Amino acid sequence: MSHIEEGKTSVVFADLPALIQRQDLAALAQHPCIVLLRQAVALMAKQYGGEVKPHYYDYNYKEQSANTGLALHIPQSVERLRHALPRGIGLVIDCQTGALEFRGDPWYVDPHFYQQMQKGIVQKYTVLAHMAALRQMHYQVTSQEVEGHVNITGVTYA
Amino acid sequence: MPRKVIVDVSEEGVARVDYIHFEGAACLVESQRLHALLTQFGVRIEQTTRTPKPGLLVANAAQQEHMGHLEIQEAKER
Repeated sequence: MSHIEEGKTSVVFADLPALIQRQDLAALAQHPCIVLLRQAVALMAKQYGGEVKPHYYDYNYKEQSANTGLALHIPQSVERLRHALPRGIGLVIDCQTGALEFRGDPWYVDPHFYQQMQKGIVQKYTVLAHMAALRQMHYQVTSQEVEGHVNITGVTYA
Repeated sequence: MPRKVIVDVSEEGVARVDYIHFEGAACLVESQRLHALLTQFGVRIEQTTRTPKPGLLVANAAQQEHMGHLEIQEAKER
């Protein structure tokens, strides 16, 4: 009984461009998508010893605001000179399409690591969205990470 | 048996969803509900492949047979 389905995910926020254009920052901060996105970035920051700031920096360390109010920063250290985000990476929503984009200057950052951070944020967001959706469907939800994959199990006795 | 939905999300953003212990085509209804909620969260799933398990194939076949009977009955009535 039942079936298995598989598909490539993408993240496009249809509702958010209007809030961004109106500069309704309070409504934006409380929007369920931004709440989940903040959780996703915070999880990445915790995993890599970083922090979440409302802005990122350009090459000259001039502040650039991210319209989601979210940017992931991972400080450099002796152990991770190139596996860090000293200028941060900003999460920006395209006001025309609603697509989630990443902005920042990856100078001296390992290109693979820079890609890995972006994919990690999208993966964590996708996981959190699935968990939230299943909870709304009255499933009991648990999750675990195994070798780069995240497994979510939802169970319902209804 | 409790109904289960098991989701595997890879680093590449591929989501594999396994619907377990659903009767007949109920899993398809559940899938639609899940997709609708994910869309509200901005998650779109593209190029979905769907692999039916034996029970769903039986349910679909029964449904098609039922629809076929209805069509024949309607034709006779006309």
